[in-house]
Amino acid sequence: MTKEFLTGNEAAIRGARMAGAQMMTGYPITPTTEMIEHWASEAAKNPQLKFLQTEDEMAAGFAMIGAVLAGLKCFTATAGPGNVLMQDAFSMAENMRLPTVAFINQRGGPSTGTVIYSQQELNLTCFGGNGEGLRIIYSCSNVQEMYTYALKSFNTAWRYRFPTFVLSDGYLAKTLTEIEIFSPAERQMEVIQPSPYFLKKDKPPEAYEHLRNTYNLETELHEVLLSHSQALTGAAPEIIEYEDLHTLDAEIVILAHGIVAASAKQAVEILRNENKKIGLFRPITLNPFPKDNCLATVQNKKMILVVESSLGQFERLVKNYLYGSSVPIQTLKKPAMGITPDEIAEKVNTILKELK
Amino acid sequence: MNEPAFPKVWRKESKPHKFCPGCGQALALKILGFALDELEIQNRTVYGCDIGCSLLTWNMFDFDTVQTHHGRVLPTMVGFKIANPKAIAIAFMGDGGGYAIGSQHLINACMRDDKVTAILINNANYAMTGGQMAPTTLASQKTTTTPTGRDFQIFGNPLHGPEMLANISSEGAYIARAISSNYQDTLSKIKKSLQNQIDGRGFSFLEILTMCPVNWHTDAQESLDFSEKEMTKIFPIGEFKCPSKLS
Amino acid sequence: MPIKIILAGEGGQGVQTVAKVLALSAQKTPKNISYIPSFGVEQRGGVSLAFVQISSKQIPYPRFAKADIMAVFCERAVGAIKNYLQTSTIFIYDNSAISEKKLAKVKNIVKNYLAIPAQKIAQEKYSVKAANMLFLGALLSHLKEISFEEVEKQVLKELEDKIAKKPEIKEKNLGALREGLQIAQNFDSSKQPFEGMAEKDIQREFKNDKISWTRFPEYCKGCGLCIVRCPVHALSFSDDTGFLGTPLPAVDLDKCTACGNCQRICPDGAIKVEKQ
Repeated sequence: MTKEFLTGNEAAIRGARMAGAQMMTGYPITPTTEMIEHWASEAAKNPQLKFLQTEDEMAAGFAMIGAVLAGLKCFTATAGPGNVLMQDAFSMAENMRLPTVAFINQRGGPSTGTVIYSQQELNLTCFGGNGEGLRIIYSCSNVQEMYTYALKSFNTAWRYRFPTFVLSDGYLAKTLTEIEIFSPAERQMEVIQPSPYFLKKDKPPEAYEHLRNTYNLETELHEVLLSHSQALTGAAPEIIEYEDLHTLDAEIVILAHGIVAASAKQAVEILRNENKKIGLFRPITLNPFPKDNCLATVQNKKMILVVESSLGQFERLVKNYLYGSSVPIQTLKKPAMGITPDEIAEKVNTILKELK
Repeated sequence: MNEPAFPKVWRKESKPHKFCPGCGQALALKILGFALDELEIQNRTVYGCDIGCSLLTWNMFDFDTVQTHHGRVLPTMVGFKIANPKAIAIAFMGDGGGYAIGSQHLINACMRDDKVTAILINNANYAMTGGQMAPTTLASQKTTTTPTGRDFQIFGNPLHGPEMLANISSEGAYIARAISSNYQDTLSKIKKSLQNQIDGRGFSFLEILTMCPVNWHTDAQESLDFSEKEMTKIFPIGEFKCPSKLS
Repeated sequence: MPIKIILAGEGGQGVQTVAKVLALSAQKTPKNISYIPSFGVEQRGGVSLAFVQISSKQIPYPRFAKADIMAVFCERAVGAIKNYLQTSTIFIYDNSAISEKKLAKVKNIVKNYLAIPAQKIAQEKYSVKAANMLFLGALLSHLKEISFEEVEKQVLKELEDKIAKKPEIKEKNLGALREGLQIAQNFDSSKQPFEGMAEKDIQREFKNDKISWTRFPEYCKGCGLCIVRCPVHALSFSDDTGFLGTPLPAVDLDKCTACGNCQRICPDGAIKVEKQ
């Protein structure tokens, strides 16, 4: 294990390399461009690595699919409007359960928005395209996690065969800080080897693959979707990750994901130092969502505070899973803007006053 | 048992195929099958199809096939080829997938000289969806979205794909146009467009004019006449780029 | 109350035309109508279904689970409509197109049937494309509130462009329509058993000491390309039909030179010619 000073974008590429990623496709878009550039420069020095800068994000997504079919650990990276275009390819990967990996840095939206930051691509990354959200999404709260989950995402994709996403944002992408670069072996992580869908070496002579994403009858597609859904639900216990901080005796639980959760963590520290009983529940996997853990954590609490840099994308997700809980919910929503620990603490204090 | 004269690479279980009676695309697919038989590359071939009528080829052949999204078969096969350069990658599409929604991919694949073979079926309409205008619809031609004929003022002139691509292609590219009712010529051109990839020389593109009796509302003779006499006036048969080693 | 009707046939047999005419005519009676087509991706060569409902009340939902009346044009449609049958369904079917073997699959459910050799009559007297009109006529015998004149009017409207190009098809279609109604009105199930077509032995290979010419009915779609491409006019349509109910070509071996044009031009690989 080494300690290195890296930006989020660099960390993600290092994680991909450590996972044995072999190919990247992409199109420049702020704040993700550096990922493409880092990979391109690595690929220029190392003939084992393949790189294609495509004409647009649609081509990047579909070329990634082609490489995956050939049995390479291939990934892509994008943001904002590029994420919108890539949903075409992600929809196909979702229908066909292809092990694609994509790193998404959220920026202000909708449309061109800002090139800076937001948490406004949750809907798109989790539920984009014309599908049912049969995807796996990791939401990173710091630069270390951009490394860790970039690394993990390939195992997840190739083991469970669902399109896998590492969701981050423009702030983390550009933050320079020290992280630990560890190898999978050091953390007892196995490395799943990819395998080709086509031109398999030891296939029986008359066996050919005919892959499609379109069906003639409603019943055919219906059964495919049920089968996919069951597979993801069945694998969920192995995939789900979350973080639970000071929630046991908390009166108020903050629900947040990504970098906003990191900010909330600091707010919790500030408030605990003032002897206030505040905790944080952070889902790391937005899908599959740690529903049971979340429900158990918030049970009997006086208030839930949902905090996000969006107009309610995370709130909607959370409320879906908390249905039936009688704990009241308040929100702190700042679409397309960062949220500091002080702002969160201030909001919590306001709630505490109301509760008295 | 008297067996039909199918190409060896035609998958018997999926026959009769789902193409309309008299379809020129089906004819092109038969010739493609024979070309692959002659080149003996069945076990190196990967094939992608687009949407539209080409999606009916998803289980047409006995080789690995993927049905993709509209306009996206070329980048998919390009990605595959980069990952597995030894494979022979065929991207099969129609005039919409190649010249409209996927045109930027076609142009860029040609520019990059991607070593794949793109085969584009030109029947001058969007057939699967019921016969709307395509980039290659002729000026006189009535379609469901040009009910009084294609109006130049609004929709411009038919697109000349191979001519355009030849202009931006590299030295090793093979770019041509055939008509599927001319069996020998189409067979020869398909073989060249594949041989060019086998030789690793450059980007290969073949547009094939095909009959569409259902959406042209023509019978057998009229379909042949329209394609062989009218379409070839606008879309001349020929080779627009041919490396000397392939001739 | 709503009368629930399903029509089913090959894509290209005019199922939707009949459904549309029925819907438009019934609306004039006046009634509430709902009509929804259902088909797979293929333009042709896939089964085409139509769901029509006629009611004096509003019809909120266009599809339904079981049909009151069913018109089945072809062999391949039988499998597609099986689950929509109930014992009270009036089952109108083409007994010149649907085999006994296929019919066996629905015999245990169907109690009321009307056999009409639509394809045969259409081919012999009108035009293969007018077979759907025979069915339309037959359906009208069970939908007495719909005016026959209104139906004729709607048929002419639907076929307006085609009639403008080929005026002779007007009488072909109207004639088929009238005959369909007549057949249905005169149909007596006690005198006509619930039977499909017997398996026919179709000649596949035509041979002499010089040439072997084979046609494959399971692949031929009756497009006619082989006929127009034969340089010596050795091919013509026969009375035998292929798997879609379309006519098969047959060869005159006295004229054939085994040039292979027919084999080459066939998009379906349904012809094979060999010099002996």
